[in-house]
Amino acid sequence: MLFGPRKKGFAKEVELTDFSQEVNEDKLKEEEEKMDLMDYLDQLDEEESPLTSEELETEEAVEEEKSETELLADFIRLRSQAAHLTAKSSLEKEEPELEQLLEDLKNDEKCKDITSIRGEKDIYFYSKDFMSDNYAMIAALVEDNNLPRTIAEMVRWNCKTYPCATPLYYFKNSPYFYTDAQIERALMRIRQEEEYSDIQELTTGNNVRYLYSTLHMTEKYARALAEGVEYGEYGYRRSN
Amino acid sequence: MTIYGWAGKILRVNFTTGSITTEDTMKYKDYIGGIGIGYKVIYDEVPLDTHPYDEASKIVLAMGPLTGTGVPCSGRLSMTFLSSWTKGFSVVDAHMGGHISHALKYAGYDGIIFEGKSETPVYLKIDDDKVSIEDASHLWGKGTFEANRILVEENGSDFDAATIGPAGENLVNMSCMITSVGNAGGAGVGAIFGSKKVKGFVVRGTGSLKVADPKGLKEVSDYMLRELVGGNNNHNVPAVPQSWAEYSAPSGKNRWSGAPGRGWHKAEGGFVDMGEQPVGDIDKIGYRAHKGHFDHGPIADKYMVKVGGCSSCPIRCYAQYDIDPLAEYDLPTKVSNTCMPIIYQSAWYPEGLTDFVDEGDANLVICGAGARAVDDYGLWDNYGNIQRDFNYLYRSGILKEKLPEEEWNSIPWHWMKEGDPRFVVDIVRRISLKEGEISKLGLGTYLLVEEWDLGKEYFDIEYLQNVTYNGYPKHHSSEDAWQSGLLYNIMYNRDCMVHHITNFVQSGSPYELYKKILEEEFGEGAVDKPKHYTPMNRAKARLAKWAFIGKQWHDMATLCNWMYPMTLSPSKERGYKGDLELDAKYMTAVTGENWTREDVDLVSERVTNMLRVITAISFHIHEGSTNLREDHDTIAAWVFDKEPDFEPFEAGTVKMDREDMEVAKTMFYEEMGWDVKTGIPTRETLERLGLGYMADDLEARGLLPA
Repeated sequence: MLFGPRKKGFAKEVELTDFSQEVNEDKLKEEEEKMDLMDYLDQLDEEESPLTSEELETEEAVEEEKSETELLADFIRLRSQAAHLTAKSSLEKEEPELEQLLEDLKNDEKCKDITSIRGEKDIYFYSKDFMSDNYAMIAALVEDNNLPRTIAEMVRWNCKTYPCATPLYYFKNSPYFYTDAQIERALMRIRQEEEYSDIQELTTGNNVRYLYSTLHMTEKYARALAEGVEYGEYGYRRSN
Repeated sequence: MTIYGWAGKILRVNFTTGSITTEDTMKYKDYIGGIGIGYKVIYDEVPLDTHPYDEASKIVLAMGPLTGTGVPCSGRLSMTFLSSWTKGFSVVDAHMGGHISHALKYAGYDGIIFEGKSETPVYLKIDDDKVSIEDASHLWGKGTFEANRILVEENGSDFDAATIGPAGENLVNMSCMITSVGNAGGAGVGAIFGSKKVKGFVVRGTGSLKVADPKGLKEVSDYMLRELVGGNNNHNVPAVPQSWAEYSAPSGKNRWSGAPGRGWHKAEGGFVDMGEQPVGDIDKIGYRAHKGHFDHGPIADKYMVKVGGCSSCPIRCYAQYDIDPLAEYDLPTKVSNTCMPIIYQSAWYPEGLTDFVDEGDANLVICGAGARAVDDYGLWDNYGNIQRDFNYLYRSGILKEKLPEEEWNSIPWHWMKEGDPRFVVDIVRRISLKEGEISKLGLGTYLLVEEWDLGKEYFDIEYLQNVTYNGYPKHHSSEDAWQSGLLYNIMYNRDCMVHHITNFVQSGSPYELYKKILEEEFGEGAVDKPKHYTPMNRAKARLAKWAFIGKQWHDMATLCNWMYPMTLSPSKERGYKGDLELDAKYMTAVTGENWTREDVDLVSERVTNMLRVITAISFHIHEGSTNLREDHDTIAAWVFDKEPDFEPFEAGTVKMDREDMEVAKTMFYEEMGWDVKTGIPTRETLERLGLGYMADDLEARGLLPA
């Protein structure tokens, strides 16, 4: 590798001298020898659990007693915490009584945080305690795996909400992680389909491509916003 | 009597006589700390016709009561002195981060007054209560990195050091002081230390500060970290969608750049992924800024080792790089910075850059070389003006006209054309060592225009970004913050450091969301849509005043101008609304006094008016001016003439309207309690703020408005 470990002679090697040990004697305190942490912990008395054995047993029992509904809710929460939706189709594969379970989930006070969003291809569940509705919207689009639709919907939403035009590199970031080839292919389809005719493209002075929706802004305004992002305080930013 | 927050003493060191004395900080209590003490001392003790390099010139380095107490984002100090490089040569302030402000407070000092001049190179050693002036002849001529290292080796590893480089030693106006790893105090302070033959100072502080209500302080801090603080510049939404967040920056770019898949590839032990950083999880705040990625994109991740920053700060906005390609040119590869040095070195290459290893890496590699060079030489760039001056003068052919042929031929232009990182190092060296005519760039724009007879029209060139005719550029001005931003941009004697408005405009939050929050405070119409401005109104004047006086508060307290105020919050439960009472809550907990937001505003207004009065007097002395509105607050023409395809107030432009800005100035002066004709504070305002003595002074000089 050309730029691997530095060859001798290229980098200046500096020998460090020892630091001065001079101290301000007025401030010198007698240093007690610090005990090793594990030794310190070992010497402490065993702490009794704040719970009685009865309570401990009850806690375990409660854990065992969790209903199917609650277990499903926990599963959805865990996935939400990891930024994942839970598709109904994936649950159907594992749970024959899913419809009843979902009905029970809806009516269970302890599961009020569990909600769903309907995508094009599936219904997706998430916990509002760990995932925002807007992120669920984005995640559902990603799950549906219809790239032209995802791109168009997000461009429209960004134009309306912030407002801002959307650079193509936005879709290379989390949670999309689309490649350049995927984005170009999706753009080809967007240009061909009437339902996406409001989605237009512009290029900034530093050759960064942006999309905007004519439903929400003019080309002039979209360009000004895009240039504003790309031309920062000190000139054009690096491209992504 | 117990003092809380403040350390209690100010050190006064006279380098002519060698005298070292202390005085009671409480003498300056009405001015709080930082620039408050600075302006007071400069006003009282330094005749305003003093040249900054004269013996009578002083530097007032000071902190406020919040620094060193554990308040988040308080690792700052202010330095106040007279400007050597701007029209009027009036008072300016520089601000430095790192760890040395804490060290000074723990050593027992709220500030240091540097006065007089040494005959030989010296440095100041502060070892708690043992203070001495030490020989620095072995350090003179050395870069800041080596000088700081030697000072720490000689004195002890628990010392903090701050030094000037060759630029300051050679009295280059554009010079700074460096501490820690690339933390700088600029605005020309390096040369003032250089004129005093003071290389710098070292501090060991082993004491402590008293806090009136430690439990209360912890509660406020925890509250701030859990509910209020966002990413860098307190951007309150992440740059890319995160599962807990409703919003993200639609451009994918803001200063909360940490995200899943992004991280530090050169971290010891392997890649560190920034992941998600939900609001409320205070252990992950340090992963939010990921500043390198904001500055340079994904290529930065390849070379990032970790992040650093200032004491008491969870944000960690200093990207720390190991940029391998620089080794090929025998240049240091380890670089750390967060601002202009690591962002804006490509302007030294008017003919463009060529990538080194990966596509798009040229800017980062060049900035790595440039950042090390400017920090080591202690050269300051006037927020990019020095680079822009060079770039424009090269492209226009003026530089070639001004340089003697022999000098022109000695410059390695082939390195510039090849995008060789050694070019920026060479140019920085020439300017710092005052080698040749090209080093006149180090005079600063205002004096360069005079020196090279470039004409007043030089300031009207849009590329150069000078916001007035006084010699400094815009800094988050009308391009971010409509009339309000432009108003406070023209108030100072250097580029303004006000981030109040840009922080929410650039946060990535939806416009309707932050508009609602701000207009609840300042009134309908205060906040314009991005790139779609409306005519001036009173609410915008109130907003401008809040931002303007607020910056002075930060530099008195001393708090980070990039993080505060906590205007917005990342918390949906809070409706994304921050807490503008926060600073008062900190003051109450730390000092034990009952502070309100109104109290904070009052002291901020007081110190702000001191700036204005000193500016008025300086302009009278140096320019014969009796009217700041006409002679200081003049806006460069390009601000109104840019974007010729647009009309002012049309969607898509930030070009301003001349008549409208005159209305803006009038409304702003009224809001500030200044005379609308001259822009000078009235006696009524000054008396209200306890500055009646300054009104008397203005009257004696014939400057007090009728």
